[in-house]
Amino acid sequence: MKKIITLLLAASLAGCVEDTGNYEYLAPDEVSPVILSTLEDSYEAISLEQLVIDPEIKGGDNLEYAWYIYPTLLASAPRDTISHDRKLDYTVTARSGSYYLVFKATDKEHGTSVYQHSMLSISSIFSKGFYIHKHVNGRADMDFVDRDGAVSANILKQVNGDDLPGKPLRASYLNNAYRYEVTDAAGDVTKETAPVYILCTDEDVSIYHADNMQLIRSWDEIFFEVPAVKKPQGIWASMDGFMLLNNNTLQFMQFNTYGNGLFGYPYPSGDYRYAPQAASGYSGYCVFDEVAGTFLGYYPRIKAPMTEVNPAIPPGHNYYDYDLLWFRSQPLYLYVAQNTFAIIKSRVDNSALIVSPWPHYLQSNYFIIGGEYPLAAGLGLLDGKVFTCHGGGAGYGHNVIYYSTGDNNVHYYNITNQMTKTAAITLPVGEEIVYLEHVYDFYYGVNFFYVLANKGGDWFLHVYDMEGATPDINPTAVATHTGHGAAVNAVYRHPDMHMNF
Amino acid sequence: MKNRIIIYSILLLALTACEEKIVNQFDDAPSLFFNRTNYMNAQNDSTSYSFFLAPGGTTVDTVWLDVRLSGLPTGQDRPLPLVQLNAGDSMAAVVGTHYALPASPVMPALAVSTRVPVAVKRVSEMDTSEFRLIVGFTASEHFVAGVKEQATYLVKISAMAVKPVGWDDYYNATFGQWTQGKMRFLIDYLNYTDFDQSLVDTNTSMYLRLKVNALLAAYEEEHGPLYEADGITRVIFP
Repeated sequence: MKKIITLLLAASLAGCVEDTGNYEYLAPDEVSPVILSTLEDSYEAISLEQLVIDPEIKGGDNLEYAWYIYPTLLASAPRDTISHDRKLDYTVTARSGSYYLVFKATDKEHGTSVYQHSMLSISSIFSKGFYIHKHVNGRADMDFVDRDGAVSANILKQVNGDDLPGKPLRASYLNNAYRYEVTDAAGDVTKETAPVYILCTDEDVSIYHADNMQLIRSWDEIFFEVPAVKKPQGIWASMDGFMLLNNNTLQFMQFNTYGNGLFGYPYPSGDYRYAPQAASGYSGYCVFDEVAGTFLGYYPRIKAPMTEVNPAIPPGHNYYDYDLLWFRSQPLYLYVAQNTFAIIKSRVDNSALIVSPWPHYLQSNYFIIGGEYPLAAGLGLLDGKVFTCHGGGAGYGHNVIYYSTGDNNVHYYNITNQMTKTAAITLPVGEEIVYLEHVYDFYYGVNFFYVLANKGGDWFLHVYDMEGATPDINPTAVATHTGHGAAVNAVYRHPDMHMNF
Repeated sequence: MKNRIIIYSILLLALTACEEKIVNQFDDAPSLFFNRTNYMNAQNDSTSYSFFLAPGGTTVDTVWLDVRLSGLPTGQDRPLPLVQLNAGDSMAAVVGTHYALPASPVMPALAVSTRVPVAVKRVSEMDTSEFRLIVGFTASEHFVAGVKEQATYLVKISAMAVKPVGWDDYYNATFGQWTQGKMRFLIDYLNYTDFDQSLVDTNTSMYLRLKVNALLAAYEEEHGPLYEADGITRVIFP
């Protein structure tokens, strides 16, 4: 009996004895795959083109593979598996941006895996180049000059099958901040965020996905309430939204986490008549009322325009009874506009001034006019029809305004030393300048100049280097591109630049 | 003998340690309870219905009761033993006058929940008074008494302006401090009645703010300033 009990006890207790095992241990390289080659530190890819990487693996008969990517700025975002083959041959469909790229090889028998990591930068073919806004026979479209200088004509019609009616007025690019609602076939509504390109003609406004230029919102889809009168006069971007001037009313769209990508209720326009020129900053806008001849500040979270100027900053007052010749912001970097310049001329004594109304800090219920520079009578600048300013602004760039009278010459006026340089650039005879731009980004070091001109029904884009850190332009064009149609203006887009105003 | 006891005890312990535990399956009697939705971090134990928020002229509307089953569904419809628990109390809603329950509500076959419509009816006293309807369940051949904390539900019926629960958190920035006159204007002129939304989108907020100011300006141009019921406090929006 004792034996039986002892045996039973032993058997039952044996189940509790820790199993220390008795296994054959192998070296890792005997059970794990071995990747003989090494991924590059980083790769660059273009949207919709092929990304091919061919790693070398030891053996491989019993291995399975995975390539996946996830955004560097949001490491917790889901990984996107882009291939299950050893050799990656991927049509790049992920959105533009920076990603971690991971290659994984797994031994199917032992279940062991090895990994290699790299970085992948994806950019769209549309993420770097010039967008030329033009019109032909009453229709507006864009020609795109890519990073290699190739010109793709009529990209709106090419991509979407349709262009826009009218003549281009303004366009803006704004990277990853536009949020809009998408309804799927089941009726479920989700919110998407996209880099967008918005084009305003004198007859229409549309919003395009800036990675592929596909139409994502047309006129009827961009308002809480579609305006009774469709008469667009301009669009401007700020860090967190757009301002639309339509039929002499201002409407704003603010971006935020909960946003819906719609223009809000029109601000009361009262007796104002808005000039089709404006300046934008972080989230505020400065416009000009042609009736009173004065500046107005708008901050889309305050229900009325501001007319008061901070008295503590010279000149400390607003201006009345002036005509506006030109007005725009001066880009610095990212979403930041450093300065704003306006050229105004008194209706009373015909005296002219350059002033700097700042659209920043409008949440303070006043705006700032941060400088006043009298202009001498007869100055060539006052005959200008096409203007731009040097990027950067105080402490970064130069207080220089480039201008053309609409012929084939570019001049500039230096506000700091009140000197004019004539014929800084001269285009071929017969070309008529319609647009100037100094492309500048303090942070990423982008710094060049371009001139857009028309002649004989074609447009000509001339690109120039700057003379170091001076306001001077090397007058020999480094590139010239041409296409068909009457150009109005252009936008240069760079992958590292977040927006243009 | 002592050793045997110890040995048998050890053996018994060792063997019972290996016994598989059998989890009892649910075999309790079915019962009913009211689902309490989580609204703005609070468990709703009641609903306030006001004809003030309904389009002008509305005299009958519906409040839905969310009834849940505790227990197993069956293959047949089972009558819901819904009753008013506060009949005869002061300010209690009167059946037929202030409300009506469906004649034969049921928990449908194979269902574990159902929504029961309560018809609420407007009477003139509701402009200044609130009537209360407390509903619950009686025991029946199909259901026993259920979760005590969720065995009753209160429906408050009036036609008075009621400050929405989330006003201070989500509407102050758009419309300013709550008032009856302001609420009436929002409903009648802005056609805004869904105050259960969390109004956190600044774009939508600004759209509503500009629009209601434009509507008020148009109203005042035609009728003059708009005042609260006291005739003194002017209705304005920020």
